[in-house]
Amino acid sequence: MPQTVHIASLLVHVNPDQLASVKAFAQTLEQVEVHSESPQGKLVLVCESSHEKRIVEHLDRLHATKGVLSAALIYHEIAPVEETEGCTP
Amino acid sequence: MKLTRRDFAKAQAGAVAAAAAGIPLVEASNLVTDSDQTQMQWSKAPCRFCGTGCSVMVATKDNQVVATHGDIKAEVNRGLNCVKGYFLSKIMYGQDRLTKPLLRMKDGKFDKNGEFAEVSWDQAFDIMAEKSKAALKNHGPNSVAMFGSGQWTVWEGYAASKLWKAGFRSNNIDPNARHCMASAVMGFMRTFGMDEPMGCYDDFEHANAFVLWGSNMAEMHPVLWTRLTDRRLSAPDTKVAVLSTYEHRSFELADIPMVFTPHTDLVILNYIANYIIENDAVNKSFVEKHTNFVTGTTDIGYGLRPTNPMEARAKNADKANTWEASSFEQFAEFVKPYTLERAAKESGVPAERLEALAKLYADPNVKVMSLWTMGVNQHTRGVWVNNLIYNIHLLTGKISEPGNSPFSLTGQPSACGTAREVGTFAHRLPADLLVANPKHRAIAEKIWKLPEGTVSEVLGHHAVLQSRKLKDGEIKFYWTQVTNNMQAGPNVMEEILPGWRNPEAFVVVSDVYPTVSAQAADLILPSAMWVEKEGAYGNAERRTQFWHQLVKAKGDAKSDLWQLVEFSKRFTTEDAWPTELLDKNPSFKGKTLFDVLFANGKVNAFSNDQIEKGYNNDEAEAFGFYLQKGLFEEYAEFGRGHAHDLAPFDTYHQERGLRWPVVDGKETKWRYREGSDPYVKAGKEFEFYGKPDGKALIFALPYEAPPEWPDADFPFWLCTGRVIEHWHTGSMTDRVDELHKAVPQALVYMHPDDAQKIGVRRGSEVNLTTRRGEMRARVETRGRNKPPQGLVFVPFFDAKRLVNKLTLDATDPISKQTDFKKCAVKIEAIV
Repeated sequence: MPQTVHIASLLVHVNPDQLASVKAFAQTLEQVEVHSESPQGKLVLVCESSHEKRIVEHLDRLHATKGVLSAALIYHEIAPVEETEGCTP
Repeated sequence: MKLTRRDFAKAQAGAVAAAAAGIPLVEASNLVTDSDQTQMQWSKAPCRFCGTGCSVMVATKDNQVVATHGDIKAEVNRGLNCVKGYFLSKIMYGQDRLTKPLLRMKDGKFDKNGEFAEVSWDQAFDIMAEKSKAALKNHGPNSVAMFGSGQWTVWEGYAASKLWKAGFRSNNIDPNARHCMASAVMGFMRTFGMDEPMGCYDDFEHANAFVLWGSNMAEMHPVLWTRLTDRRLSAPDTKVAVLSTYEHRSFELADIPMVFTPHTDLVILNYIANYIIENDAVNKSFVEKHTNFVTGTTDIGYGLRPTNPMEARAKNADKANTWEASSFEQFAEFVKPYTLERAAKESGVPAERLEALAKLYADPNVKVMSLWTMGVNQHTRGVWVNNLIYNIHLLTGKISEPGNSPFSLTGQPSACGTAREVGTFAHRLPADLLVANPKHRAIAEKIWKLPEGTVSEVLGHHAVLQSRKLKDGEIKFYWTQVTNNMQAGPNVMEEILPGWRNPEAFVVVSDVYPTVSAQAADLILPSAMWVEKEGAYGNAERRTQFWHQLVKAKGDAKSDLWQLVEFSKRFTTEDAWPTELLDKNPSFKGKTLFDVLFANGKVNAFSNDQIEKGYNNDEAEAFGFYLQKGLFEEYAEFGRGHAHDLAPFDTYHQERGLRWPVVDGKETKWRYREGSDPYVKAGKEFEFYGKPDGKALIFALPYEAPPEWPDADFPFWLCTGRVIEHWHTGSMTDRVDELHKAVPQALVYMHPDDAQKIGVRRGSEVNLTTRRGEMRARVETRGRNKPPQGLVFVPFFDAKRLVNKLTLDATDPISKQTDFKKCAVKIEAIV
């Protein structure tokens, strides 16, 4: 199997009062970027990792975070590393 | 800046999610699709997991699924996808994917005690034909049985049902939906005379209150939970009430959290009915015009073997599904003893919470959506609980309109579309028709172009009875597709495994991976799955959805549909039908079952050039006609004009599903209400037309004790179920690497004080014993499931820790659905 990279996006529903703290927490997760957000209590995260387990761990940790009401996976792509290599890190 | 592949994928991932969330995009210009760069072909397909019916966009490249995302155009999930949907592509590519038929052999021949060895499809069908023909000849139609699934596609279930009921003249076919939805089905049939919910998912955006009666939606229906959460956040007055026998993740959103003593939901529901009556909250005009009152038969037993003393004591086990006419006054009198004090005392729920719950239903200005799954259905009085929930909605007239919705959620992708609608139950024919009704059998024979008397009036066996009959040596040939009863069925060691290993029986399992069931079988057939075949599912809101074949199946794996139809070629009518039937209908002599069932001028009426360009269809290619279309159109004849109308086949390949009845091209969102349901006659306002007089039934049904409860010897309640960790820890992906090693460990969720009492702590290994078996597992006191003292929760998805060795094969006597939610267990520290 060639080496692969997993690119995924997550939609997180957050209690609006705790949006800032959840966002701060999400930013500490490895290889996770906050893509966009809404004051109504929604965060879009984009995540890149070498194994899908990492994405699941992120979901798990988000679920366990105070203020998180739900975390749903939206997009998932498995791409061979050679196709993505050479691009900006 | 040149947009790299990685940047592109990340931008795409973020954009799709933002669109799903309704967040406006700033950098939309970056999202120009460059087909040379992506080389991916995107198609829609419904998810193959739960009953929600999310639509997923699937990208393929070089005959592999390479990417998925939630389908923004789908009304069900609006771009969302849960963690299970995420595994859709992975589950097809596990290392131990079955790719060849495997037969137990010794010295080159079949031997029940032999080792699995590869055989060809021809050899596999040879031995199956030999065993099933011998059974039919020597022991009659009910000696050949099939156990199917709510994960079959619509046409697979229909073909299986037809092969059995018309081909083998045996009604001995039942789906795993028996373990899952049978109580919901009988609840619908008794109250409304017609299966499946009247409302739909649109109710989520209209309700002001949600009540979960035994459903952990946050983990089991996450996408619908997200819709519910969205409603709760955007309409702040919305209330969420959660009832369960232990605290779980859905409690995080609960305004009214309620942990109740197992089985006392019967008391709580009767209390609410009483509250509504005593507080003058009955919608009198609705009740008068649209309902009748009846009193259900009581003391109906527990669906155990008749020799079981608990069963022998029940007076009315033989007439469990009967009732007598009654009146509003009698009903009011009946529920009077179910006071708030009694409900609080027996359920253990604080009185003020019960009253707050009752008020949600009683307040005419609150639109209530009730939701439930296995907590209600897997219950020795599960049909009653379904009936009692409908009582409350009917008394208040909160039904069939946006936001007022008693809604039975389903667990499997096609429990509705396949298991229930095409007639795979042992007592049913397509579109709610019944085997026991001679007129219904005649309808089936006419549509199937078969002689009068082909469909037998003899009922088949329900799932639990099939296991018993295998053990008793009465079922000789048993074929299972897309289900894993050796792990999911109750009381495995006493009532399932002995039957499968009975030398009298030949057991065939069609599956994708070597499940526990496959390993207990005599012959394993490798199945194609999901987008390796063209398919159709029907979700919990009556939505029928189609998908195309997108990739080829692995190795020699074949779809269940191909297996069923190809196998039918092995039989002539003489092999399966009695001489008298053939003498009366000589034109059927000498034909194969394939000829009379599938090459009947209807199923083979559509040629392969009707297949949408750009898609494979391996079954159509194998048989020379558009098999799926022919099966669907023949099946649709059963429901068109009878309130089960389906749209033309090709429509579904274009739409993101449609909710039946589809009349004049329009789907139906709310049934039974004038203006919304074309079957309701003008001037009626509401019409429950499943009943002859158009009136739904309100049932007087009491609390009756469960068959087993904790005592000095077995002091804990045992509740089984699912946890999202099963997916979270990668069970599917790891499982396919190595079945036995990788399924995540089932934990015993228990209260920390209980753990302390028996001298164990978090992580300790304990022994669990019931009157039927034992197993070992580790204790969890801090997980997301927080049971009250006296109850433990153990998930059933661990192949190494089969919790169903412990469960009791007691069923609801009406639905024959097992109660997996309560039996008595002893827990001991291992020293």
